[in-house]
Amino acid sequence: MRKFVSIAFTAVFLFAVGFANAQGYTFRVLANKGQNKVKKVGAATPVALKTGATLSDGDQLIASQGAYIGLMHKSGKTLEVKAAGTKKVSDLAKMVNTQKTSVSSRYANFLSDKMNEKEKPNYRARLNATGAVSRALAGDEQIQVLIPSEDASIFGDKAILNWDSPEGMEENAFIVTVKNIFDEEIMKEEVTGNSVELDFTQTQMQTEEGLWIVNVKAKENIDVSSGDIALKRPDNSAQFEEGLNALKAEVSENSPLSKVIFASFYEENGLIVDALTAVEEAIQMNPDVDDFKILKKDIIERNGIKVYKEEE
Amino acid sequence: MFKRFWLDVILGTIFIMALMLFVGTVISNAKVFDIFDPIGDALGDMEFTDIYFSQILDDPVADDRVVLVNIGLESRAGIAMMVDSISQHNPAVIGVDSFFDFPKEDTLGDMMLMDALSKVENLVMVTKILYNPETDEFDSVHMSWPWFTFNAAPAFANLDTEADVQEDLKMCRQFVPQMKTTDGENQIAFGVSLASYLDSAGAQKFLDRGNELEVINYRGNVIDYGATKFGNKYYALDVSDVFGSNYVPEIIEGKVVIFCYLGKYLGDRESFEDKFITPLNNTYVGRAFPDMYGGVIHANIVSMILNEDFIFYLKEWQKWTLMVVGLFLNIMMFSWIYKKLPKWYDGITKLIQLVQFVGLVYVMIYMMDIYSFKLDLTLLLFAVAISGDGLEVFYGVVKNSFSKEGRKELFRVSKL
Repeated sequence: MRKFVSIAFTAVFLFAVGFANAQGYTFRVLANKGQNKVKKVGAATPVALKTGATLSDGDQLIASQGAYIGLMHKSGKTLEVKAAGTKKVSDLAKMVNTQKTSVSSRYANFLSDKMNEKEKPNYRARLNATGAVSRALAGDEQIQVLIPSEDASIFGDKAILNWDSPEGMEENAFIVTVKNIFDEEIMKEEVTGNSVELDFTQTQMQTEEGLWIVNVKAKENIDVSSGDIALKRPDNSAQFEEGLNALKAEVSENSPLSKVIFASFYEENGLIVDALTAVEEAIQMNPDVDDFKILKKDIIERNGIKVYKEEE
Repeated sequence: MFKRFWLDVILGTIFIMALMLFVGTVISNAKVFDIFDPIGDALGDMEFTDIYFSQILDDPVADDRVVLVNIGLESRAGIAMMVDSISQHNPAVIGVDSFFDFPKEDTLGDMMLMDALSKVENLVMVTKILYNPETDEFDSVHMSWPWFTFNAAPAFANLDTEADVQEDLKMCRQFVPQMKTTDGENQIAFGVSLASYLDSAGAQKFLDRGNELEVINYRGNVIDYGATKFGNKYYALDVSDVFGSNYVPEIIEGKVVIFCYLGKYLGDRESFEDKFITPLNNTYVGRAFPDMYGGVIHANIVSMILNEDFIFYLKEWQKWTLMVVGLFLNIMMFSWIYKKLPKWYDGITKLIQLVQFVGLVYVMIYMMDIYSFKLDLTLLLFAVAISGDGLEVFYGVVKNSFSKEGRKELFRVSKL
C-alpha cells in the first residue's frame, strides 16, 4: 500500500511539473510601441501584439519600423527589441543573459571599457546632428496627410484620405496629384476641404506595380505641401481575403455600424488606410454621431500618425 | 625617537586635516580657482556610487507589480475615461501623479474626472508639502481641487533635489519617506503610500528605519532609448494602449498602477516636463540630459519597498571617523617611508595612493553591490589624495620652520 501511495504521489508530482511547464512562457511584453504583431505557434496569421501578452518559444515576433518592444524573460531579466523585422522568440531567449556576474568582473570590465574607449576619430564621424529642425511632414507649416508615414498599405478599391492644414491657414482649396512609380502623373484633382477620395478601379489609376505616389498642395501656395506619400498594395493580399470574405458573409457592408466593424478588422490586420476609409464612410453616413469621430481619432493616435492636443 | 615618531604622525595628521579644511572651506567658498576648475565643476554633482548605478549595477530583474500609465496631454475627460477603463480590472491601488488644481471651463470633463476618481476603490493622489523659508518649517500642503481628492488618500510627491523650481535641471538620489507638518500631521511619501497597499508591513518596516532621508535603490526606467542601461523594467501603457484596450487585463489586477506623465507619447525624448537626472544616467560625470520621469522614480521607490531592497548608509560622524582613522594610518605609513626611504618617498607614496584610490572605490562598489550599503568614502578619498604631498609640506616647511637648524638651512648659501 505504501509503495502504491509513493508511486501515485510521484506520478501526480511529475504530472504537475509537466503541466506547469506546459503553462509556462518565455517572455512577457512589458512595453509595446508601434504596429507590432505576434504569430503564435500553429496560427495562420499574426495578431496585434498587446502589452502584457505572453510569448512562447515557437512564436514569432514581428516588429514594425520604429518599433520598441520591451520584453521580460521568465527569469525576470529584460530585453529590448528595436529593429524592425521578424524574430523567433527562441532566438531572443538565447540573447538573455540570466547568469549573475561578480562585482569584480563588472568593475574590471568597466575599467577596461574606460581604458579602451575611443573617441570618434575625426569630424567626419561627428556630423550626425544638424543645427536645424525638420518640417517636411507634420510640421506647423506643412500639410499632414493622416495616414501612416511608413507602410501605408491599401487593400480595398477605394481610399478616403484626410489631411490637416497648417495652423492659421484659411485657404480651403487643394490640388491632389497621384503619380505612378515612373513619376508620371496619372491623376490630378482640385478639391475643396481636407479630404479626397481615390478610386483605384478607374482606368488611369490602375498600375501593375501596385504603388501610387500622392501629393497634396495648397492651391494658392504650392510651397505648402504634404510631400510625396506612397500608397501600396500589401505584400501578401491573399492573407486578408479569407478573413474579409468571412466577415462580409456575416456583416452587411452598407450600414455605419458595419463600416466600424470592417474598420476594426482592417486595423487589426495593419491596413490602417482601409480602416480610416471605413470609419470615414461611417462618418459620412451619420455625420452627427460623435463616437465615429472619436474612433477615427483613436485609430490615428493608436497608430502613431498624430497625437491630438486636448482642445482638438 | 619612538615617541618623536608618533608625535610627528599625530601632528602630521592634524596638519593635513587643517589643510583639508582650508581647501574645502576657504578656497572652495572664495571660488578663487573656480575659473580654472571646469573638472571640479563637472565632478561637483557626482558621487562615486553614481558609477555603480550607471555602469556597474548588474542587470536587475523587472518588477511586474507596478504598471505605469502615461496620461500624456490627455484632457481631464480623457484621463477620466482612462481611470475608468483601468480601474475595472481591479488594481490594488491607483496612484495619480498629477495635480488638478482648479475647475476648468470644461465642466463636463471635471465632472467625468470626479466621477471616475470617486469610483476607484483605493486611490492615492499626490500633494506637495510647502516649505516656509521664514519659519524654516513645512507648514502647508498643496492638494488638487477638493472635487477630485475626497475619495483619495493624500501622499506627497516632493523629491530631494537641488532645484528651486520644477523646471530646473534636477538630480534625484534620495527622498524623504515621511515628514511632519507644523500641525503635527504625519505625511507619507507617494511611493511609500502606494507600496503600503500591496505590503503594509513592508512599508511600515521601511518607515520604522526612522531615516530622515532614504537613498533610492534604482531598478530601471521605461522606454528611454539608452538614457540609462536599464530602460525596460516596468509595464508601461500609453494613452492609445488604454483607449484601444491594447493590453492584457491581468497585468492590472492586484497591481500598483501609477497614472503619470511619461511624455507626449511613450518614448518621447523631447519632453522635459517632470523629468529628472538619476544615478542610472549613462553619463555619470557632467550630466545635462535628464533620463527619468517623476512617475518612474515613484515606481522605483515602490519596487525598493516591495522588494525590501533598502539602502543603508553612513551617518556624517561615521564618515568623519573613517576619514580620521584612514588618514592617521596613511600618515603613519608615509612618515615611516619619509624617514627610512627618503629617496623613494615620492614614487612609493604616489603608487600607494593610486592603489588605495582604486581599492577604496572598489570597496565602495562592493559594499553597494553585496550589502546595499552606500559607503560614502569621499572624505577618506580626499584625505588619501592629499596625504602624500601634504605630509611633505608638513615635514619640509612646517616642521623645519619650527627648528633652528631648519631655518638656518633655508637662508644658508651653499656652493652648487
